[in-house]
Amino acid sequence: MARIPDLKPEEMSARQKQLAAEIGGPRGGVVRGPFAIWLRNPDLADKANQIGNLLREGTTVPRRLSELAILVTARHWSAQYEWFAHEHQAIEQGVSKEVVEAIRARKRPSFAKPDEKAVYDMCHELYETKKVSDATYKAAIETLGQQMVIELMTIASFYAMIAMFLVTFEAPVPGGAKPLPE
Amino acid sequence: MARVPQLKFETLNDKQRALATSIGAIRGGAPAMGGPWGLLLRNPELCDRAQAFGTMLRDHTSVPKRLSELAIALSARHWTAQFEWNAHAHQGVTAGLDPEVVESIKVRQRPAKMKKDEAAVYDFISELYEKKKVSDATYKTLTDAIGTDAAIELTAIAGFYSTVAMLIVAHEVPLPAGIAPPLPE
Repeated sequence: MARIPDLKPEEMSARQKQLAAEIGGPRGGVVRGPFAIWLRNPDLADKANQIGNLLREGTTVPRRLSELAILVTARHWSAQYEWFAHEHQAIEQGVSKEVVEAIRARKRPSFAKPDEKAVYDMCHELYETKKVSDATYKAAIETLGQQMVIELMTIASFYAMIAMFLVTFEAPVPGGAKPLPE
Repeated sequence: MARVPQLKFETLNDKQRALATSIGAIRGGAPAMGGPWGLLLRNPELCDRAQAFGTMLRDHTSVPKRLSELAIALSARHWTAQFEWNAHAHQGVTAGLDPEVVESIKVRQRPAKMKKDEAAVYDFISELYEKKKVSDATYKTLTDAIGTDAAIELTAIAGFYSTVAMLIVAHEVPLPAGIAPPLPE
């Protein structure tokens, strides 16, 4: 049960309706998850959406790696909606089902691709130890380069903020599903 | 030794220069070349959108600054983000937090004396970070104390300053020259 009910169209201001159309457009016309919460504060919704759009389309990070970082983040927070929204995107972008299932079960995946290993190690270590060792950081720089490592950590940490919203306000997954076990 | 070399102002393009200058000016000083903004300058459009979000959360929410700085202090402490703590702890005191509240957070203790709204914010954010969920009782105490709209803004503040903290920690962003790490491990 969501802690904050979705706004009904008749409850929305003109600006909220416009934002709902802008945000829902590329998402099958629905405004769910973090957006449904943010929409109550149009400035917040707009500015957060601008960052999200840029992180999806305006960095050097391949989508396969950004979706992997998002899944590691969603798992760390047990953010059910975030996992629900990104699991299929990760697979579409080429993350293997074995990798996805291992992350879901909180197991370390065995990676065939060195760039995925670098992303996983960096995010996982940051979440578990709240720091990143020299060895892990160096491996990430050698595999991905400085620019991508900065952008990647911005993606992970922005989706951590989203996870904090989803968890705090108990944003529901459609149909009440819980794709992540405890 | 910083993991990411700081860019030099002379080598920035026009957009980066304008950003560094305006970000620094809003925060009361010279162009922002170090800290988390120095990292984000490497993707100027990202930096611009992130600073628009951050400036809104800093200066234009309904959350009293005393409570937003409390949320920031708790985020910096959770992540042991020395740069963030150094930049914000004094702002909390200026905004009306009791220095003893700030000192307790620094040593990871629940402050003994807090105002009612401060206790609601402290318990909410501590629980969110420690348990990655928020109990019904804690959620209700928070929204009774500050309202739902402010709770949304407060979550954005904690979330965004966690984003910044994660960047600081992952890239070991150094403190300004001559400043000792303020937070014990």
